[in-house]
Amino acid sequence: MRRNKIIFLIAFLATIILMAVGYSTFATDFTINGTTEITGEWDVRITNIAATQVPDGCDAGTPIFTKDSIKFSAKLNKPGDEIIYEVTIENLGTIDAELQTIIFTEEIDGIEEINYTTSELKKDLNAGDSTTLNIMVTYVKNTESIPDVKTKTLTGIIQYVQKENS
Amino acid sequence: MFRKKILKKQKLFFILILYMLSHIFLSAYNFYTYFLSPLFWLGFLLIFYHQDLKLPKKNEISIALTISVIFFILYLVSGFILGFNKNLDNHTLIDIFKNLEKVILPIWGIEIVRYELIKSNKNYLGINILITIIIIISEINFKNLFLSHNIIFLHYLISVIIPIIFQNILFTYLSLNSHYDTAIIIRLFTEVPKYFLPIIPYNNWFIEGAFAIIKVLIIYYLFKYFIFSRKNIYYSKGSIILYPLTIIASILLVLFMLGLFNYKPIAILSNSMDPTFRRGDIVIYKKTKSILPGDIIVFKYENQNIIHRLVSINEYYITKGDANINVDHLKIKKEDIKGVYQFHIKYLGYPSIWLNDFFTKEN
Repeated sequence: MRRNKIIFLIAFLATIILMAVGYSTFATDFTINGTTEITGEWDVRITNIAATQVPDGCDAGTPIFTKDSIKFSAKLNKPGDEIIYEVTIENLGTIDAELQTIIFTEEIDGIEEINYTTSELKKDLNAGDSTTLNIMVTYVKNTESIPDVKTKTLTGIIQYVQKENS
Repeated sequence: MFRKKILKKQKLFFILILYMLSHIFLSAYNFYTYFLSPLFWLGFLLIFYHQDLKLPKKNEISIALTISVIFFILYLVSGFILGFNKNLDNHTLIDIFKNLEKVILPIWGIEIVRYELIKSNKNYLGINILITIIIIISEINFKNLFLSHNIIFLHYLISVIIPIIFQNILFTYLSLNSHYDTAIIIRLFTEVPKYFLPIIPYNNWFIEGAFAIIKVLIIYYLFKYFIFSRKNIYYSKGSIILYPLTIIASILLVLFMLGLFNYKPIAILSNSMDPTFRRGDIVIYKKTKSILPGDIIVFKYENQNIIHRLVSINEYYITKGDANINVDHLKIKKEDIKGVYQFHIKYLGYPSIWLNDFFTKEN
């Protein structure tokens, strides 16, 4: 019984320590506002993702998004086809923000003949501002092989953090 | 009578499995979250919940209520230290209602099913573990798992999955020794407020996760030694003190990691300061802006923490790694400086490095 209790407490402490290690590795600075007043409101989020150019025979799928991530599958028909996705990010709060992370990951089995490029994303997103990120998914023109599966699934993370001194 | 009991057990187990499966496959859809799942549990409560259940003991309910109210107040008070954020889940009365029904009915239903199943399998540890695992799976939002980058997954793991595991172990323990109302009260007070408060304390993923599991240990300790112990036997003083010590140590560790004290740790990822300290060490630095050339300073540059020796102060602060030949060509300003090196602990930073390597590598 005593042994079980010790094991339980060690497991508990180990979990807390591992969480702390995870935090120290990936944390952005934690700011203590230390005030009873609500001086600012943080609300930066992705508000929309839409395919703006979809050639005949292609399918932009139904892109989905959360506050800071997007996911879509683009199905292209032939070399030269291109779908453009427009992602809108808005700062609806009252605190200025700056871009911290933008990461895109392709589905592991994604085909090489379809690639993607992104436009440059505004680094500073002040309160009330909005910005757009364009993602172009392209079927490479001079490819020699025509694969059976012509779909590319892409996941993106776009994270803004509070701008320093804001 | 015996046959009736077996049938009831089977029905409840079937309900639990059905809920778990529907949760796995449908939790990504709002239709399920806001309509089907609450309806499922409403149906359960109306159709099946007419059992001759014993009432909980008054002291169990009162301690559950007291603990819950204290935690709720602490949660609100934390906002005065950490700041408040507007609650994004909550814009209109309809939003509040939708959020409440999506969370209250499942909590209510699940705790009754857990209690009934655990109560009828009290002596079977394996079955109790299985029931707890099924409920844990039923409470994880799979939508967040499938749409996740590694780092986002780590956030979700720490702030949601680990607390769900600890909380469910606690609720199973309470079901074994108390009544389902005890777990329902604790859950309602801890899980529901965020759905109706217009503003909520600013908690990052680490605070959320760490304090959720510390809360579990506190509740477990209070129930074990001050409520359930009366039914059982004498506990040694050492045994009673060990839990508060663990709780205090955990709270101090969390506050230390958050930088609420004057000192903060940082893991070293490179050998640029060799031989003073090396990759894999942990450096403890003091938060201060008063520095002199020769000090080893921690500063932030392009979202990264760097720890190098201050060589001179001109228009900008000029730094250099002890192992480097040249000075750093960085434009460091006073506001970039976070503190001064105090001491280091060898090798303690390696878990941090492994985690960094693991979670930042491409999928």
